[in-house]
Amino acid sequence: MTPACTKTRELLDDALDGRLDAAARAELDRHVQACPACAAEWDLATSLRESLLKIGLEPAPAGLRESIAAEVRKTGGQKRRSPFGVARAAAAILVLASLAWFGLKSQKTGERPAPERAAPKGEVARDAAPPPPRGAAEKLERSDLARAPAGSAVAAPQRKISTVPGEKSWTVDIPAESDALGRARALVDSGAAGGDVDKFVEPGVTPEERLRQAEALVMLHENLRELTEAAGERKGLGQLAKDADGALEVFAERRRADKGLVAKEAEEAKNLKDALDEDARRKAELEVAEGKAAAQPSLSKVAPAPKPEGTRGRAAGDDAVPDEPAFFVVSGPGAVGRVERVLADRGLQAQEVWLKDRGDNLKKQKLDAQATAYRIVEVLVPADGWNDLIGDLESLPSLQLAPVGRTAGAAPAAPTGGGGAGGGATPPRMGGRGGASGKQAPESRTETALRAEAARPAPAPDRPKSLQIRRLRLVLIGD
Amino acid sequence: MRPRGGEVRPEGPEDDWALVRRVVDGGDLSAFDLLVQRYQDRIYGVISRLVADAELARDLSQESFLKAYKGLAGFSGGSSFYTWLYRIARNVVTSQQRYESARPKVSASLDVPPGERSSPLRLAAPAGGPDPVQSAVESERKRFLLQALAALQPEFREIIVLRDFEDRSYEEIAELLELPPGTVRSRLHRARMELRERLKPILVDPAT
Repeated sequence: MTPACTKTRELLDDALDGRLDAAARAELDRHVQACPACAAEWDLATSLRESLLKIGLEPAPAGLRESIAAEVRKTGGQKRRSPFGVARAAAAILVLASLAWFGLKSQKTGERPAPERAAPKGEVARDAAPPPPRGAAEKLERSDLARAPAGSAVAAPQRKISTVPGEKSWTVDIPAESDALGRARALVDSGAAGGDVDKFVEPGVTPEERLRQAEALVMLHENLRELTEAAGERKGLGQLAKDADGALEVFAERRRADKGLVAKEAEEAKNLKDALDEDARRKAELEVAEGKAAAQPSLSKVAPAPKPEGTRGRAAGDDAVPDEPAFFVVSGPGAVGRVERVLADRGLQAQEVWLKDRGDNLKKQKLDAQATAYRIVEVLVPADGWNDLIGDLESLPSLQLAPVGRTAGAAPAAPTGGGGAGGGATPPRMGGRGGASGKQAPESRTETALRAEAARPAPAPDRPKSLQIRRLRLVLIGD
Repeated sequence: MRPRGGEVRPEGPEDDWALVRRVVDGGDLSAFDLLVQRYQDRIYGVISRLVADAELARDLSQESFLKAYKGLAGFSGGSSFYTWLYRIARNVVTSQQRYESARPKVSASLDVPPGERSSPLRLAAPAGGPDPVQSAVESERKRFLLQALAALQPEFREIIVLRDFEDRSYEEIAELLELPPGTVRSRLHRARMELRERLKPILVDPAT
């Protein structure tokens, strides 16, 4: 194939879709006329496109509309206050209370508020005044809601507000309104339009994420109470507080269910890892028994039987270098698809180890949530690409990457606590709030990854690094 | 609450946003029924190409609309209603595919046994042929095309369905799939190349 053929093949689809300019199209036509192979390719492409268009889409079958209507009727219809009312109330609580809470926090700790987002085109803040001193806007909100008489108009610039610094934020465009309630509504609308509010009622977030949001809501609700009391139970805020109570009931119920699901996921991940290790150990034993172990390259060597506590890890002089997989949990919205794309971009192929869809369980528990699946995959990673891959996985926004089991703080040859007594494999929460790390200082994701790297058994010393392969197992939690 | 500015609403006696408000604010089931009527063909049509099973496609379409109904209050107008609905349907299909992939599968190969490949299925039906023959060829060709489509990985399958079956523009596809236009172009190119490669042994006469 000539360079001209290669170029033609690359532009074939653009030509097919009419996306080539006249000069490029003329050049392509000239080549196609002169090159039988490319002409055949062009014929195939055009014929295929015509055929697919001709086949088109099937119309909906008769009765689909009626069966949807019947199912909709079974749900009892839309509740006017829920979920929309709940969403509005929850958003109002979060936005209002975050203003107050964050303002208070800034006052107490002197913590620097989240930096302002540069206003995008078309969303220019309406006042051109210089930015207020740090914390001023939040304090303004709180004092305004508490004391401003009805009818007073206060304009505030668009701001990015962090509920939890560095973690959750809303961008709100606060218009001038005639009273505090009106402003609250505007805040709700701004938040809803930004899409974040959807996360409270939309299916599609993981139980863990929902749990975190519910916890944030509970915390912020306390601040709303203070705010409401300070405002002397103004009419509008009083109604919002009632809405908040309703919202809290819903979220409290979800939180109970989600706590169970998150704990169950962690337990199942641990059980799975134990089962996989056990399988690998048996396989290794079998291979040794069959005299195959010595003949196998290091790639096929599997984890040996766990040694007694205190001796686990690669001891000097071991003939067979244990090639235990490093085990990570990646959780968060879209974890499965996004991690798969990272792997695909690096040319790595993930072998599915085990998969279970939990949609049925969710349905049984009557959670208004989208089915959440988790998937366990194994990837063979060239040693010289290991750090880059871990770095890529760490940098995926809104996903949590956590090593499991022995990698949690263990030195290569040291006894491993597995993150807790008894070798519990519950993945530590990385980069998130919630105090799951106990009294230990928070550990950054990078630090965790480096420790996980340090804890990996050394590969066979007789192979150059570019040829060494490491096994990485990922538990992907989330759609 | 009004949708954000700049949103293009579909033409019609009553736009989608108004119907959504009727459902959410007034509990008007007939308004939702109108939305179903408006979009059932598109949603079912795409799903049926993605899952290649009419009965399953029907179930997944129903589930998509039901999820949309339950989450309708969360529709803020940040995108068109169809875009929002499509993304729900997409999630439903993805969940189903994950569920299916966990089951033992019976795989079917596109490879035709050598002895049966004496007469390649040309894309162009024989001109002037008797109707039953032409119809049989068309039917068989469609079957092979859909079988090849089903063998593509889901990302490729989806983009082929949107572009080549539904004739959506690159810009529409970019919005539906939340991808940059450049990625749409490159993914479509790779998807088509793979589809052509799969179909070549069947559709191209080795003599040519």
